[in-house]
Amino acid sequence: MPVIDYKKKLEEQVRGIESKELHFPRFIMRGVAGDYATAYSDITEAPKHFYYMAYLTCLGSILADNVRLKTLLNVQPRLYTIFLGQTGRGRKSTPIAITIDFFKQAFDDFNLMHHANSGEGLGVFLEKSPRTLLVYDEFMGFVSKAIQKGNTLLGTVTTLFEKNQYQTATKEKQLLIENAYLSILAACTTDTWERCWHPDFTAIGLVNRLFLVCGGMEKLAPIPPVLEIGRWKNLLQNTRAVVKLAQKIHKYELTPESVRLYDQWYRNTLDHKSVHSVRLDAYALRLMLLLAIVDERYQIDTDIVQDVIQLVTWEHAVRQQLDPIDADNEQAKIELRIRRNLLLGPLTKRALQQKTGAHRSGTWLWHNALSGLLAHNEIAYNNKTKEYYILSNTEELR
Amino acid sequence: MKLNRYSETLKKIPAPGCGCHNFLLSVSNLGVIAGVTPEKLFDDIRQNIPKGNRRVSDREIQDAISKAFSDHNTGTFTPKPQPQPIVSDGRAAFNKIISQSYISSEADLWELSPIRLLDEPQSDPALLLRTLFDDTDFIFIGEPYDKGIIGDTIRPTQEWIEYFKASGRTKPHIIINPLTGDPAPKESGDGDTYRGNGNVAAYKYCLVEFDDLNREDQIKFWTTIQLPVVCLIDTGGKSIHGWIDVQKWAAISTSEQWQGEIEGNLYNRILKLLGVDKACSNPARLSRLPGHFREEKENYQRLLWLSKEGKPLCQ
Repeated sequence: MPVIDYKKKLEEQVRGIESKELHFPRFIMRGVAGDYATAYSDITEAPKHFYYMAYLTCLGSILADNVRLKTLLNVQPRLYTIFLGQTGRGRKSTPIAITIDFFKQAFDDFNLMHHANSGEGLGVFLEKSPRTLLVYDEFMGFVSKAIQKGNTLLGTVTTLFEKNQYQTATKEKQLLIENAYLSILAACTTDTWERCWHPDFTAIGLVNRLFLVCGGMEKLAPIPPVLEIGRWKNLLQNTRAVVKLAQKIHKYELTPESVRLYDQWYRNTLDHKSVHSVRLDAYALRLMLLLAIVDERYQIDTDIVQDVIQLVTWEHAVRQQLDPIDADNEQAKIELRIRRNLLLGPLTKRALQQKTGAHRSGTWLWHNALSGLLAHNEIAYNNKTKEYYILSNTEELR
Repeated sequence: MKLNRYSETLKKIPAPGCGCHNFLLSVSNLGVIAGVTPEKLFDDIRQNIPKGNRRVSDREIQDAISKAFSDHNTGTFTPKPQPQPIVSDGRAAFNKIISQSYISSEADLWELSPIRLLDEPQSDPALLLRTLFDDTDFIFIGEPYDKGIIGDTIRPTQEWIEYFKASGRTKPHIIINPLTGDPAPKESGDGDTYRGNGNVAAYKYCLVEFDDLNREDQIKFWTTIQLPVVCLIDTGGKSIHGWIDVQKWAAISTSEQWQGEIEGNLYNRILKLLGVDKACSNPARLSRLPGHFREEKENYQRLLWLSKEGKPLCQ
């Protein structure tokens, strides 16, 4: 037997280096969605997984009324996807615009609604086009409307995540829609995301109905070229082909091995007590459908379930990291930001100031927050490396 | 004959949408008759499907192969489960690994070599053979498509050393592991060979090479990675070949152990994600023989780092 365990050493080196950064599980991006994401991320600055998730969201919207998982639950491939990234550098809107355009060209019945101002307005649109993708270039637009007193938008969107019925009554009109299939694709800056939340949102549970996808610019492409026409046509044809195949299959079944695998994850791994795990199981089932569709599978096998588990585990980490800041005053907000950033690894004072937006809060307040955390032994300072780090017993405070 | 028919049929696969689906079973049947392994059959079919108006899924090919095997009573084709990669973003992990290196030049690499490489490249073949193989090990040295012939392209280490000393002539490639010197069936089933994966006598080394990576980053990688390296060879082109001591990775004495530990755990789970060329993972892999002058590049293939015992360069 080897004296030095190189297997362990190499694994530790590669794993350790990955640290706690939020890297999308890239190896799951297969099939036609993977091809699409590769084609466009190669020529633009946006990350590949933004294209991948935009594609899945649009595909889910197209197939929302047609494809189901063979289970008692009414699992539909609809997603509420939010891209999060830094302002100007996240490259969030480009994948949304390109993917929407691609699907509009691929399918005549691909219905879009840009911005909804009220639940009633959305309802009227859904009456005409029951299968609709609601698109926001800036999710703040949704938030600002939804928090207005008397606006029913928040309740409508929340209800339509699981249900397909919508009913509203005004003095002028009674509206009842039996078959509404709503999907959402939106972009939001991380900064806005942290600040835009109103207690109503968390109370009604909209946050855990959203699938958050974080990322940012991965390379420079000053003038992105047009995608080669042959490749574009190929993608278009493949997309139409997978949609046809999915419509033909209609009900996707899990193989016995994949049922066992999912069962094991659901019972033993998924943290049912964590607030960040709420509805991850619902997303896992929806994503199983979508991943099977794009990979042209006839049923959901263990490969698909393993990929989905990787994806929702990543989503759990994203939710932990980007949970809207829920604090009563500015100092508490800064403290929370400092804790979250240090949970990813030690940082110098300068880096910590940059990552927590110290200039916006004001130096005096920021230093007070830092001193408070040091005084209460939540964080500590390493004199040798000149870095702040989190003390392990504060992990639960995330 | 059977193999020729199979190879010819492979080239005739119609484009998807023009009868490709039905043709898959025909090719699979011919492959089974020719004795092609299911894995090779799958790879051959995948590579030979022309572009068409739809994408042929992996499952569709697997189904055709399974049916062909089942019809010929040779069992069914169950693809090997893919090992779960240990990191989700290999590129990010690679970048972080190389960012830890403080070495990016060949001169520093040369300084690190446990065996000082003071002589001209012409003496490298003998030095490599003497350091890494036993005197009686049968070693293949030759052109990529040379047949394995005992006494010609396959000789014991000592005989090669004397040959190089006497003639001064070198050849471009060397198989990284010693061979048995006995014939073994080719993987394609078409006759016997003396230099295939089935002829490996002892599993000593595996080859690690990058597909497309600049030289500076390759050097940075080799000076930080925690692998038991025995030598680094400048190929005379853009690449650096690294030989890894597989016995320090795991005790390997059979081809099944090689497949599980080297192809599965080392390449598929880790190295492939970091950008290493997966095609290099077989035990009878050709590497560049140091000391050979590569005429098309006008450069010597030469040793950059050498150690009798496998160890990380950073140790």
